[in-house]
Amino acid sequence: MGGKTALKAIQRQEGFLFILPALVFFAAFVAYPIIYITRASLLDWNGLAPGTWVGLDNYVRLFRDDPVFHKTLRNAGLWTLLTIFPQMFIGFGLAVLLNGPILGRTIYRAIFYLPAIISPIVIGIVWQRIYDPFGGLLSDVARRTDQMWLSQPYLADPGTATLATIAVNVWQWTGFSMLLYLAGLQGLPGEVLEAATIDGATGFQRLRQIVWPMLRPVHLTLILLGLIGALQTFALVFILTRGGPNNASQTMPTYIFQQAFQLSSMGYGAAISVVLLVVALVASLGQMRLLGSRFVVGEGD
Amino acid sequence: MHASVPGKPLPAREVWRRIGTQALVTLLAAFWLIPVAMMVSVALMPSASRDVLLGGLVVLRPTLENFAQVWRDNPLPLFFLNSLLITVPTVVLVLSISSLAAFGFSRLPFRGSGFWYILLMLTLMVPIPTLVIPLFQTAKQLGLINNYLGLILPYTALGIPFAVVVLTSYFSRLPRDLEDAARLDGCTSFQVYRQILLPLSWPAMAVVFIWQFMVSWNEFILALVLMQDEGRKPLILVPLIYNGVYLSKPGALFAILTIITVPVILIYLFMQRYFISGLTAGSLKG
Amino acid sequence: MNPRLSRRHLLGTSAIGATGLLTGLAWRGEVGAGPARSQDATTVTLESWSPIQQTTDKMIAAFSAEHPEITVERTIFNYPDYILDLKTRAASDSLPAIIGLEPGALTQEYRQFLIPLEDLAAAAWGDNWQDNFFPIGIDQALLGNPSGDESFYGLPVLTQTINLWYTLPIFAEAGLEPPTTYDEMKAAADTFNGMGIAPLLHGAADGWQRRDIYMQLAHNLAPGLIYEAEVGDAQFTDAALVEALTWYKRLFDDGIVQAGALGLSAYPNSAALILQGQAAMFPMGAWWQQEAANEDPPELAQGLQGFAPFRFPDISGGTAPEDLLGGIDVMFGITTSAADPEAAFTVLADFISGAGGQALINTFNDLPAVSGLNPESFANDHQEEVWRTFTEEWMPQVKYARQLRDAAVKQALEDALAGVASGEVTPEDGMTSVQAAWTPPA
Repeated sequence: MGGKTALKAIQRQEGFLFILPALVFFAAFVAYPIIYITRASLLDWNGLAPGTWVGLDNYVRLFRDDPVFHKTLRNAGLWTLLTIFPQMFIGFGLAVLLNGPILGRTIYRAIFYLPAIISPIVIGIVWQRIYDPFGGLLSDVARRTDQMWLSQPYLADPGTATLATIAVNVWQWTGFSMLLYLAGLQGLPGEVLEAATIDGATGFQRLRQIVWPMLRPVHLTLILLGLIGALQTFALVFILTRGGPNNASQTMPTYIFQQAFQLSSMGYGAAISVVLLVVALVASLGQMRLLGSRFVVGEGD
Repeated sequence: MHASVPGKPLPAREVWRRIGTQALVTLLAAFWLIPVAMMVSVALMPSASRDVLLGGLVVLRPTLENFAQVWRDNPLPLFFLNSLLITVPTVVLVLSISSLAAFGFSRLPFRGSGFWYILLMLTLMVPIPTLVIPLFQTAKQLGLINNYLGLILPYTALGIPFAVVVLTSYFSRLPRDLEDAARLDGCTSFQVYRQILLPLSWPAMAVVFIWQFMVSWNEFILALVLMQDEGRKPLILVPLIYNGVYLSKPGALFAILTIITVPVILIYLFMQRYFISGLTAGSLKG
Repeated sequence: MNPRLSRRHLLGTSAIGATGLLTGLAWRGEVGAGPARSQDATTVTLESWSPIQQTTDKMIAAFSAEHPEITVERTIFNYPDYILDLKTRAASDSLPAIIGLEPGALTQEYRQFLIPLEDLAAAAWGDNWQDNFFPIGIDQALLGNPSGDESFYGLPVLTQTINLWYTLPIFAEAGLEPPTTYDEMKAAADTFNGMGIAPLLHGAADGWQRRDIYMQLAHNLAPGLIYEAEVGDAQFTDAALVEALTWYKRLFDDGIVQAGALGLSAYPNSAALILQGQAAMFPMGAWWQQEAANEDPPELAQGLQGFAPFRFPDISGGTAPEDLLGGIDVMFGITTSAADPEAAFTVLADFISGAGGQALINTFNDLPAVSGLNPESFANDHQEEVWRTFTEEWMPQVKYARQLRDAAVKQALEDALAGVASGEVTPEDGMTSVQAAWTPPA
């Protein structure tokens, strides 16, 4: 037994050595930005001239006096709810369909996943052309089929801007959920499913009561990644609406950009960044604590 | 669901069901493809844009003129090479560093490894606009402005967490018998990593490969600021020229969008097999 | 040994080898490095959002022909990307030699990084160099300087007016003249709506165009008031300024601005529609002339034959002011990071009134900063007449700025305009939020 303990001790030190390169990169390229924004958030600063210390004033102003920030929080909630769950449900549905006796599964799989690998610049520009009420795809279809309700200024109407952007995001990322669910489905033990069929369960019952719960690790992975992704959405919103109109579709990252660069309030932008970081951290930790973290690090550690 | 038994015809109901499913999936896929189809068709749009229907989805007189123009106006092969020079080293670095770290996290646990894991995950939570200035300063300190490494290194740092998540999860589910046997034979941890775990991990590595390739190929915010030398720009920065305020040439713009997208699609199609098995293999037993 | 393993082993090794090679190349930066520079050449780096890349390259080519000893390296961005890049470089002490600036807020923000230019200007052009420029250009170059600071941190390269334009064939077909009062404009709008043409094609998705229309409305109702509000001598919530916002909404309600305007971007979408002949009138400025100089312009733009500028109609019912709004389109400054400020100034001076400047003006990009600089050729009399109207009649009279000093006020105003147009916000509340965004200038 003594040998094994000694071995474990060596392995412990070794473990640290193995993660060291990753930590070096973190220290060099991530630690400094985090320190930078934390310090900046306590200043009234335009990013260039020396800033003045204001302590927590930026944060107070953020939460108490800033209606645009509240809009971004509301949009963060919308993004979280309306991207994660639709992507999960549609992705699961697609996975179930593709898991069955389908011809050309590989092609369909590639088609649904394709949007996820395309640059947000490309997607933003293309979808602007789809949404454009002056000669875009939807408005042209509307004109030809006499369904004028289809021809809206989706991205310019404060009521629809956020939803329209979210729709693009769902289109882009559902394929990713689909792939994870497909993998999960293909890994399910056949015997359990057969036993259920023998017991007389219908396809739908099987799906709901056996398959879905067994895919829990996939659900949790998608929720975790989806949370962080929803909070961090920048490029797509920036290209589609720039956060407008009138801040209707503003997300925290686009608001940070506006404050830090367009309005030269770097300190204020940094405060928003810190809030975002804390929210993401708390949400992730909270999820891992509530729902378990074994889907990430697996068992046996 | 009925499995087809050789020699026995399927019941009619099942045939209809299969046809229905196939039709449904085909319909969905067709809708899903519309934006991508539009990208390609607008790229084929002639500059007299009267011959265009449905916002560009249907082009009555397609032409390759836009591609020719983009080719004339930009040194595309050079930009393509630059994108490769940035993306490939990034992917390799991410794969090597993250697999090492994942090995450490999953196989060689030590007190506080959870803390370091969470710390690494913090990377994912720093908002992108706020990264730009401090990263630029760091790159400048290291003398890496307008240098490929000025993008490779930050991209690696930003890509490590996701890769670590995927690889750690994968490694944890691999059976330990081979490793235990190797250790009994006297292998060091590094040898176990390199000769046992890595060869078994190609599927998960493929997942990371495709993901990181895509992310680095498409990244433009840092590239915009850190790489201004005309000779070193990656492909992704070209659309920004065509989408500028005064230039309204959708044909050329969409042509370059298509050109940028093709390599990533090809990589994905090529590695698709590994990608899928990578996602699946985590749940395979033994 | 597993044969698959050894093949992958080979693959892996070659991958590592290739990467090593690539990384080595990357480190040395060999691939894609620019042409070797000669021993005596000076390099001046330039970054801006304007003029556009093609035009800037023409300017540089013209300059280099006369000054082969100076190499200019330029990077032209879209405006938001430019701001991102500028701030990042300034914060990291990596600014190029010449940077593009707007008068007011942008210049003041970077003032600490800019060198005063008046001595270099006097050396190049003589002590009366200011007389070469349109007066509004000189005023605006100083805009926002702390009191007592008379230094020029930038010099104007292009100027402009904002006004309205009309499409000649459309008005001819309707048998109308460009309106001079609001009522005339409304009557004309009814006609054009009947013809299925947008009366005033407004790309209201873009904040700057909303602001341009507002500024002209405010100028009509109370010339000069908004600038007093900017320095604190008046309030943005003063009646006339609120009324201007109400009139903006009225343009939408009365059908003068086309339906769905808030969904239309000014560039490229409204511009494309205008060039296709879908607009009777449109709110652009002097820079619209450049449409004639584009590669292969559509018929209406050829020789600018389809378009002519006119003044914003009177809405106050009284006497509309004679002068237009305008000022500096873009100015260039020289940064403290410039290795050779004199070489940089040589470039700058040339771009204003030298070979580069001539190349710039030849593209009709906008109006020159100096009087007497004209394009070398006009396609027809009409185009020449339009040019002379701008440069000889309108530009010299410009007294008031198109731009606002403060970025936060500008943003709040643009937001308020969008809110009012969509009915989300009342004009009173809109101007209240503008006032709330205001801080006293330094």
